[in-house]
Amino acid sequence: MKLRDYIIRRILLLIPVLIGISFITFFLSHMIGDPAAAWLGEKTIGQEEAVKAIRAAHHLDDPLPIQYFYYLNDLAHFDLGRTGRNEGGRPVIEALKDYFPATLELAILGMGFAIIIGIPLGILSAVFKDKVPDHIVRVLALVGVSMPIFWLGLILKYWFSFKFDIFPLDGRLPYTVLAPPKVTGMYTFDALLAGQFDTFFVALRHAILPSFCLGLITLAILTRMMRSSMLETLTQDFIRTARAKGLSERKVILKHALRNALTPTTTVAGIAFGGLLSGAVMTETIFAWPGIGRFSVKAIGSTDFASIMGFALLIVLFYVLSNLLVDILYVYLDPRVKYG
Amino acid sequence: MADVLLSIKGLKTNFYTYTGVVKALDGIDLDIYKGETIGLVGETGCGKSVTALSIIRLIQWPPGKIDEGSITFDGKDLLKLPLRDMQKIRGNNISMIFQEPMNAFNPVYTIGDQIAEVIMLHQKKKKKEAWQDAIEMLKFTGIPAPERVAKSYPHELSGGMLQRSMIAMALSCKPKLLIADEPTTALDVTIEAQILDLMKGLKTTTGASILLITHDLGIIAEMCDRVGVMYAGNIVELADVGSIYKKPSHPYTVGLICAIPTLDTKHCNRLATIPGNVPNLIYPPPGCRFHPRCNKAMDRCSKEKPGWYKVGEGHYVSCFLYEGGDKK
Ligand SMILES: Nc1ncnc2c1ncn2[C@@H]1O[C@H](COP(=O)(O)OP(=O)(O)OP(=O)(O)O)[C@@H](O)[C@H]1O
Ligand SMILES: [Mg+2]
Repeated sequence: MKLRDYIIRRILLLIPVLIGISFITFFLSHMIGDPAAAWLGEKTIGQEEAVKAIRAAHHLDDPLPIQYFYYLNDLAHFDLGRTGRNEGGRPVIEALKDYFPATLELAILGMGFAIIIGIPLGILSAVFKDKVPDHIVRVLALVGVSMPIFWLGLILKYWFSFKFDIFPLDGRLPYTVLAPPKVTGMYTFDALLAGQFDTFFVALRHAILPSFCLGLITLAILTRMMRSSMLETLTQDFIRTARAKGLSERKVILKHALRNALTPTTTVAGIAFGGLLSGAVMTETIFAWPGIGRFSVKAIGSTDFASIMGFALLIVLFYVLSNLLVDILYVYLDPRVKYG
Repeated sequence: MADVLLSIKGLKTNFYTYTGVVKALDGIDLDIYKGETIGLVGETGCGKSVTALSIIRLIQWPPGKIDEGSITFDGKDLLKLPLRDMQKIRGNNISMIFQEPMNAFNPVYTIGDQIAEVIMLHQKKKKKEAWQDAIEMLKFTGIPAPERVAKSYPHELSGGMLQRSMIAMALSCKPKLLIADEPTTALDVTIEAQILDLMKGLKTTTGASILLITHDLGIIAEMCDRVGVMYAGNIVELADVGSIYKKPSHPYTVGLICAIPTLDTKHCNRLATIPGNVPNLIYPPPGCRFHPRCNKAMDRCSKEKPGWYKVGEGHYVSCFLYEGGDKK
């Protein structure tokens, strides 16, 4: 099968997945309250007529399954509905377009941390198995996976912002700095594209604590994964062959073992990337980062169904896409794997 | 055949496991002559592979360690060489082929890349030239369409093809010693015959010495000039191939040869199996490690380790029964 056909097939498979997710989120979110009342807010009391009017206009009096089909119909036209009061009722798609790049930026940087630090640590740990570096890395990884994000976030802020003032406390940019011209919506990338290096560094400094906080669990998972797949690979016969050829230990590990050990780690990284996006809820709240995580928290707080579902669908979409990317990458990493 | 290429003296290799120290090699002595093919036979677990891996120092610590002995090659004790110098010998002067050709190649690189790698490493050749040499080597081992095989990944080739490629890789730097650890065990019979034919030809075309490890006495008879019989970490008998079948001397060798129904069995009293089990090498029997299973065991066999005794021209046995003979 050609790569293009494979990608097309996988993307078509996305449709039933998205329908399934919309089904679940639709019925779950409609259990949390009355959106019409939420829309009107405190004014509801004595406004039964208004509530009724809103309910009628938005088919809210129809049975849930019927409402679901209205929703699906809109979805098929790429209409995710309208946001609630705190977004001023603008289309959900627009809100997502505004907030998503910020989250994606965090997730990409968080993944960057996880890969750049986690993979070498995992290798180190495997190569020095049962020696001091291994013990240190294993303890760190254990701490990393078990650290509660909200606590870590607060600790990071306390030490690195409040105490030592190395990084800013929260937000994406100070009010005094203009956002770079919008291309991707991710300030660091856009600043680079526009050649505004000052803005880039300011944006990066703002992003470092939250993205590290977001990426830490993934970092720890990748470290452990890399360690175990490296250890597994090092027991393989072809490693003995590589040594028997007279290759240096460095070459044996970085050329012969690494390529093989990366394959399982890549899968985990792909899955973790989807997790980073949804994990952003906590981090964004702590660091006042205006992304879809914070957006979804507010949406839940105001019974804003359309926004909640838009958030869920977007996360799932990226989950599936990052897995697709991993599957494609796989073919390059391991010649035994074929599309299919 | 007088020149010694590699000389092993008193080699002891131990594995320090959780359950105890596995005394895998209990003082191996073996000379390998220039240009000869020497076989090592013995039951599974007797230490054949450990001997081979000890020679190129690929016993992994932990748990394995070479604790005593010397391995002299080219006037140098390999066991005392710095790792860097040992790496210059591996794959260059001494190379090795393994039992499972399917697992012995790295699955993510092509055969050609993997052969070229060793040529680039030891002969300091450029990639293109090394790749050309690799194809030459593949051709030399009788592989049809060597260009195509060079571009293939291991999973795309058959076991026989892989083992030929392995031999090509092992020979690509013209080693003086080729160690082959059960090179045909994983292959089916017709392929086995082809690979053995190929290896037989090597002696004349390359002049390399071959250390051939197997548990198949038939292969020894067909391929080797001399043979060492191993039992539980010791070489117990060492002889020219002709004389070992004519006059097996160590009780273990006798048992081993009698276990093959097709061979001439005039030394056997219809015994086809050796009673008892291979000893646990964590608590090996004292004295001669074979004595608990030996039908000719004497008192002293459980107390002292026998030395080497000569029973014929180039034929030595490590057994008190032959104490009358000359010392080696
Ligand atoms: N990594 C290891 N850890 C512990 N013991 C080991 C290890 N490798 C080998 N041994 C022990 O050393 C002894 C010799 O093993 P070796 O692999 O040399 O046997 P062999 O003669 O090659 O057998 P086979 O015919 O099955 O290949 C065995 O008793 C084995 O248990
Ligand atoms: Mg073996």
